[in-house]
Amino acid sequence: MYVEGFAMRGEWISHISVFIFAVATYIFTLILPSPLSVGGGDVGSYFFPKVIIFVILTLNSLSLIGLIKKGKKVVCNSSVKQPPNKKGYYKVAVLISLMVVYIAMLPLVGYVVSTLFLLVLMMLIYNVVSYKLFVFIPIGVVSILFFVFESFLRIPLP
Amino acid sequence: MEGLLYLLDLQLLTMIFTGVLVGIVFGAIPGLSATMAIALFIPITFTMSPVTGISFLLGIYCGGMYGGAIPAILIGTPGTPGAAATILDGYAMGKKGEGGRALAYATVGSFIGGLFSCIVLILLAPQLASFGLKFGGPEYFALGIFGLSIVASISGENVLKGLIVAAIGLVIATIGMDPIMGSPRFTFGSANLTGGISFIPALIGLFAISQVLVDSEQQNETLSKKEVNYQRQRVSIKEIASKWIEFLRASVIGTIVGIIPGSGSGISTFLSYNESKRFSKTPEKYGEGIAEGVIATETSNNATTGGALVPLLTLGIPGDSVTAVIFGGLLIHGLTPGPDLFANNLDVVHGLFGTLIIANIFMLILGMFFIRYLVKIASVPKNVLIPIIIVFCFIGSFSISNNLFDIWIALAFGVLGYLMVKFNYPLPPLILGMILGPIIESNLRRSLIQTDEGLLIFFTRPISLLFIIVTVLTLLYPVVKKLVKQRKFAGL
Repeated sequence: MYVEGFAMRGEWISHISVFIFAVATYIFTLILPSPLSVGGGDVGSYFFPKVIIFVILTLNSLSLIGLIKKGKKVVCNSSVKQPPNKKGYYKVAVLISLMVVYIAMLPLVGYVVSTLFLLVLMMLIYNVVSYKLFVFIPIGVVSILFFVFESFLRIPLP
Repeated sequence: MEGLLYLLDLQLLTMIFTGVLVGIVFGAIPGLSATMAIALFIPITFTMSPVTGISFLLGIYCGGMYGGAIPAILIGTPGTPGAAATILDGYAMGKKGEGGRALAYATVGSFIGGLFSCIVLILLAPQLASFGLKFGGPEYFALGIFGLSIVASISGENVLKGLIVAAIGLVIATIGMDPIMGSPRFTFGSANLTGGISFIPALIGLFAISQVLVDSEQQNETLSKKEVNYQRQRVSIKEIASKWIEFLRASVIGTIVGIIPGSGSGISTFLSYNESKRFSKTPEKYGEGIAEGVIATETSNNATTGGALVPLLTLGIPGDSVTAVIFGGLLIHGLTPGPDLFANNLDVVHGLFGTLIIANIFMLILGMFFIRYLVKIASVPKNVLIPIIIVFCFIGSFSISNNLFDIWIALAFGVLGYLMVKFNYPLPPLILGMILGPIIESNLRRSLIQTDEGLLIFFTRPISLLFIIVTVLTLLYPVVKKLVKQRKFAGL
């Protein structure tokens, strides 16, 4: 019951999110330049996005109707078969935050320092216990990537 | 056949070999895939010549499709989706102590299937490409719509969700400059968005970073090292020759399924397995660990590689997620897949044909003589690999245009891909929408501007009409199939 309720809530959230995306995109099309009127039809800049938004809204509505009609039967056939893994979600949230910090640090402290920091912290999160791996993996990866991109491919790193 | 002269280049041969090796490594580690490997390594090919760069990616493709058999046979976990069917008899053989023989059959089968599909590609592609040269704006638009209808088949049960995702991909493709009017769209005043969403970072985020985030939800114990038991065993040429009909049947099935856009190795392997069982004199032995089961799945698995490249190279329509990523690789080297590729870059195309054959030969060599080292890959702990992959994703994204914004794109698409997986939305249609969006939009608008017929133009031209009819049938087929199934069930 808990799994079905959770999956059902997920379906509603996703459908509403798609609806919000389509409406927001439509609002943005209103600020585009005036359409180019040629040969009996308007095919300006916002012609194609508007057509696609209409398609998205139609398909989303059909999917929502199907969801309401079939309800639990649809949900039971979905990929959600286990209760939500809160610990796993926290881990993902921490990882995403770590990646955001890494990207923000790149222009400030450069590739070497920020990448060493990211690798060490991620290995901690993934419960790597070997001290040798903690030393050799970050240094090895940073060095190899530096050699491959900067020296071999001549692509500058951040 | 000037293109074959490329194959005399030692650097090219080295890159093909390296690509095959990288592909096998990625295919052999469950959770990684050929798709991820190609997406990750596209940035590295940026400074290479087109033939060398694409050859490297094709090497990864061939190696990756084969590599999935290693963990499937040795630890009962498929390294790639196409290797799922190999577990049925491959893992059973492994448990009986015949893992070495199973791997040998998988190696030979992959080689034969891959080579067969290469030959079909070489013979068929030029004919299809010359047909494609007759296309105008309406035909390209209808072809693009047909390409999107493939979504119906690659979205599994969630056809509507697949179409929604493809449509979102079309919207994302409109970010940047309007191709007809030249005015900015959805750029929000950002110079970074004027050129649109960078395709390769989006690809890396969607297929690599999202997979990492999904894997990260697992318990740490499942990400740690796994024990692999392997004993070297050989298979004689006489034994291989005695099963020639199995190899041939699987090769044909895999190639044909690969050519059909939207189907892929996941379908061909199970289809081939079923057919092998059907034609067998001892079908009851299937599932208990017999060589024919492994031959059927692994031969058809690699036979899809050449087949899937047919619609990609000739019509510019990626047949599955792997070829969608290869599409990105071709674009980055200034090669636009489709009929024009054969008209303007025939030497490159011939070079790629030769590359595929050589990649299959290298795969055979690696599989026959170095398998005892390759099997150790399946035991590499993922909790060490994942941080390395993340760094590779970000640095690879940055290297495309030395722009930090591309790393943010990769992360954004990685989070988007993760959410899509959690909410049961398929990923490949998003990339298909982004790829086909510019083709569909520019040809639609140009066709409407150039004619007074309006939308009728797409129905009065025979090739365009044919594509539209096939599109409608493709979209209706899952619905009709479901209705027939429900009626049968109700009738019972």
